[in-house]
Amino acid sequence: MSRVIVITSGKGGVGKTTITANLGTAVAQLGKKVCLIDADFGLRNLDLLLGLEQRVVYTIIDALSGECTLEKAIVKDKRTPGLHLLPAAQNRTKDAITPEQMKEVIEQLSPNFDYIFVDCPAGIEMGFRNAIVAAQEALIVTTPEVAAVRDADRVVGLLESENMKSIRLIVNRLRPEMVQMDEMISVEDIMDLLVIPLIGIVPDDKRIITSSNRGEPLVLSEEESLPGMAIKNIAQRLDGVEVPYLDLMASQDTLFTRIRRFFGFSGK
Amino acid sequence: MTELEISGEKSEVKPLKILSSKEQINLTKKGKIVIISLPPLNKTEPNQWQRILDDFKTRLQKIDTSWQLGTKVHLQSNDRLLDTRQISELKTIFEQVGLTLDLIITRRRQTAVAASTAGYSVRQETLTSTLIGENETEQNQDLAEPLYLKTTIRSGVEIYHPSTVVVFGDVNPGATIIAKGDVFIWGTLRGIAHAGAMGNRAALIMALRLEPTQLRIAELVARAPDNPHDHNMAEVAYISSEGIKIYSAFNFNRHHDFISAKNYWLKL
Ligand SMILES: Nc1ncnc2c1ncn2[C@@H]1O[C@H](COP(=O)(O)OP(=O)(O)O)[C@@H](O)[C@H]1O
Ligand SMILES: [Mg+2]
Repeated sequence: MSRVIVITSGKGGVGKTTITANLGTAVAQLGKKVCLIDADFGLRNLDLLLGLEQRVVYTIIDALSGECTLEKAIVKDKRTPGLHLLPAAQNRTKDAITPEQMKEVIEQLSPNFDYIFVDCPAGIEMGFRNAIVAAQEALIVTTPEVAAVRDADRVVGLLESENMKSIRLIVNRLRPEMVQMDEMISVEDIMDLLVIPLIGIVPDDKRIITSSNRGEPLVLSEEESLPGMAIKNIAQRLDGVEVPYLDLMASQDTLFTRIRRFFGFSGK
Repeated sequence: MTELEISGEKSEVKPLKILSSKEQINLTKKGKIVIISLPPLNKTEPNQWQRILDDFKTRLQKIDTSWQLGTKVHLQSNDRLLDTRQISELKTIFEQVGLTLDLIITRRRQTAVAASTAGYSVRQETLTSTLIGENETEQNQDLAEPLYLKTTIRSGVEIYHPSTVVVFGDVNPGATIIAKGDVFIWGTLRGIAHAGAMGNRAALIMALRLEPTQLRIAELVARAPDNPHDHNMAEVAYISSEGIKIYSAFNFNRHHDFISAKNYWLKL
């Protein structure tokens, strides 16, 4: 039986797909069997971020219509043992599948995986219903922006009314220097509003964008990076390991001390 | 209908009565929404909930369900008491035909509590007089019974109540509380509160932390100050001779008097 976890936000463009790709890879790196389901019909791009675009032959729709078996539609990621993708159809409208069908698919997959992550489309319409229908856990992704937090709050309310067992928060694209200058909402403020437990903070980093463009999740990179570590830590926490939070302000401090030293204000 | 006979003898069992249209759940399309109203309580047969649901499900298969997937439902529950389980049963039936439960309209306080706790928008109408004096839990409560909600009111939720509303929790941005009486928030008010919504200028809005998007009392509207003061002090909003004012909630009643002749609160 697998844990079914939906990655959702309400607002689009906050990093759901990016986090699904990276977190799924990181959990597979822990030795788990993972299946990622792209529930964003019509706008599929999870396969792109994973670099699996060329290997997609069938989609979840083909499996549902009986055109192929479910096993056939699933793409194995050769770079990351244990990682699988069930692609969404690009040409169909998002109403091509019902919540019951989605539930059926996930129930069929469930015995074969430790984790199933569902990448949710933006909005709270039918696509959202499909994505959450079989999940017991939800990860809410938000950026430190008023509109994103507002939508996250709405989604938390909807998930609570669905009796979602666990709802946890990922703050993405945090820019510590902006928080320090009081130009960005802090994680504390977001948590104060949403009142749900935090599971990770991912800094804003252009390496996320370059790695996405290459179709290579950042967590695969040999070189250690702060966002890569942040996502690996989320994977550990999901798996029940307590990992201390990265001090995202630390690099800022050294930068500030450096600037201060440069101006001769080092104090000592 | 032929009478049932058991082993040649006249049966005591009455043939299953078909629900009359007055006892059925009714569905009407109204513009972009669907209004579904529950039948009034049948006092002689109080336990026919399951029958009503089954009947509705059967009829749903026959009627024209050509609305857009995700079309919003306003559930008119009238005098019926609904618990969270029943609300969730209805929600599931609606979802199977592509409808999304959005708003619950009720005359019963307990139903309003159940619905808003489950995260739905609620509109409470005054209890019909026929129910007063009925042998039920609400028997001794008069019409103007306050609504007590022990939950966070999240973005997108709207509560309408024909008396005072007390929230033990926060009211988040994007949420709205509309009360005919006072609004008391034992938490932070960040959304919109409207007290005295039917014109009562003596109505008050009180919160442990008053950081509203907008305050409305009777016909007056005040928006949040541009520079919210940063203190942890319970405050009250009221109508003064110069419009809506905010004052420390502590001892407000000692320092203010409502002057009926002038229709505002006077500072003593
Ligand atoms: N931590 C981050 N730092 C920098 N860019 C990011 C980060 N997270 C996401 N992005 C970028 O934001 C954009 C939207 O991300 P995406 O995952 O597609 O969002 P969603 O799936 O929520 O619509 C992409 O261009 C992505 O590369
Ligand atoms: Mg996406």
